[in-house]
Amino acid sequence: MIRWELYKLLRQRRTFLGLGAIALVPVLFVAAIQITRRGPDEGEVPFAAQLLENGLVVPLITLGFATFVLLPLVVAFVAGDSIAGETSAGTLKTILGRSVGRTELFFSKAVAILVYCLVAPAVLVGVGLIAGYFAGGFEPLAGPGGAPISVGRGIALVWSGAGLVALPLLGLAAFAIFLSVTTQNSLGAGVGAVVLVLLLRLASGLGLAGPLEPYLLTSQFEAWLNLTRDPINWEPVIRSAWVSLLWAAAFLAAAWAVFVRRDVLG
Amino acid sequence: MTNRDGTGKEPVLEVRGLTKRFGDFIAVRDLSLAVRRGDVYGFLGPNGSGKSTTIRTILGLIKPTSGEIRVFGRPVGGPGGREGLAGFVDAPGFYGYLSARDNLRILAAADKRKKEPPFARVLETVGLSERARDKVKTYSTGMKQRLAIAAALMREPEFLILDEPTSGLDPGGMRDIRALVRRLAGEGLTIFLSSHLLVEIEQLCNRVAVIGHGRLLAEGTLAEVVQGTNGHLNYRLVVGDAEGALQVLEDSTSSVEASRLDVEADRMEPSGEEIRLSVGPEGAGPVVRELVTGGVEVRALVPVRPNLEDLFLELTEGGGR
Repeated sequence: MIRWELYKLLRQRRTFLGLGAIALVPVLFVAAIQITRRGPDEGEVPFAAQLLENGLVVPLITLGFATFVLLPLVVAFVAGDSIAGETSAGTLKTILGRSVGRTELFFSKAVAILVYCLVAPAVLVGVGLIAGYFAGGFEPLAGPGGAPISVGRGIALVWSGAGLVALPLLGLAAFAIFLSVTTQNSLGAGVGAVVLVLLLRLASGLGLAGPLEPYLLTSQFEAWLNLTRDPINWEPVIRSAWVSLLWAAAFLAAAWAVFVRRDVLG
Repeated sequence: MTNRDGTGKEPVLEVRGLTKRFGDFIAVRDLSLAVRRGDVYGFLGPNGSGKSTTIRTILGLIKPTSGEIRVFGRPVGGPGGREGLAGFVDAPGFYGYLSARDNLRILAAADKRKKEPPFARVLETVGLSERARDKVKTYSTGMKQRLAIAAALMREPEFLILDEPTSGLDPGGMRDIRALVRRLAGEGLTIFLSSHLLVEIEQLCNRVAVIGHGRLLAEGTLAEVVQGTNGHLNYRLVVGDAEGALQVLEDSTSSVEASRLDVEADRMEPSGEEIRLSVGPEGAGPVVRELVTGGVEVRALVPVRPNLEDLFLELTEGGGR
């Protein structure tokens, strides 16, 4: 079933609209830099100073940028569609009229979405590396403390950053799947998950979260920046991993519990 | 050909005391019926009468509020509950962005059977072999209905549930589907066919249940249900003089034993005047004898085949009695 869930995901336009939008970000970013010869100011964005001469910072800057809106948006809508889309298309009743159990179907879908959460940031940094390489070539990075980061370590940093960003995306996807099961409305589930991200960001911005701040889903999107430090500050990285997985597990469990009991109408 | 009488055979589907509530709304109340091996069982009811809700519970898509459903003796909710059973409910849902073949492959994977599914054969059966590689979103309603039947047949079921399979089709499409149902029944499949089209049920089914407002209104062989709840037989009586005949019949109500006569005069062509007769189970014999004795010229006595449509309206418009 997992294979077929991935196949369905692969054959849907919305999957590629999302990934296409993600792939476009580094390309447009590089094009804009090439045309204007101006980057963002240092201080606002890490590594911005090197932008004009070092292509290796392109995936890093775009990753930081995309975690704000684009990656959560794309994942929210794809995950929000997972169950609700099949309910409204009437395919859920077709599938569940066969021998497959609801639990197996649910987790096959969850695994397909998990793969999507890994692929989305991977596409972003993959295209970012290629675009950056052609725009400026790769040089060693100047780390936040000034210590240089070799090109090899820089590339490893890019990919592990993408991997670490995938974890809060998974948490968000789980929330969108939960909404998808409970609201049975594809668009509503996507919007709901995006609203969660905006509310959590707002709470952080206004300092409302207080001691809960490190446990907000959105706070986990910045954890990968700790990988750029020398030595690496592992504590926030590890916390981000378990906090993200806890969000994911909680909402997946809730979604599953509703899904196996729910009457399939539509 | 299987025995279409249906009595004394093992039950394929047993529904006992099925009730389904959605909040305050009771979609199905205390419904019981049995489908036996070899039946083509018509499930007749107007739109919104609870047909689809009943089928969804049989397919295990929704849980009954109370009552029990067994297919081949196994509870549908339990392990292996859907073995030997295939079918669809409402408009069939397929992945429009995938080909018919891919849709069938996904459903085959969901079937969890080790055997290679008979893709080519079922597509051939429903006449979709040529279009199997086309995306389902390019299909007409009729083609989707046929694909739904193909998808059901792929499970190689012994019991097939079809929910309004001719709904939304043009006359040619309806004819094709009905021919297919007849052929499948001839091959020995037990079929549960829901419809709001009386003609369909009359053409295809040997047993029928009529449902309205979520309640079972009538159940039995087609003949039993058609003969109606009062057991009366209808005739068209052509006589020389309707007034005279009515007079005789009126006088005879006391003399003709247990024969309640419900007579209407309908003046027709010069060949004679017609009277609609409804007589009890003892038949028209005593009435005719009386008419002849009373000097009425009886020109013809034509049995009127009781109409399922009349019965249906009588049953369903009574507000579920």
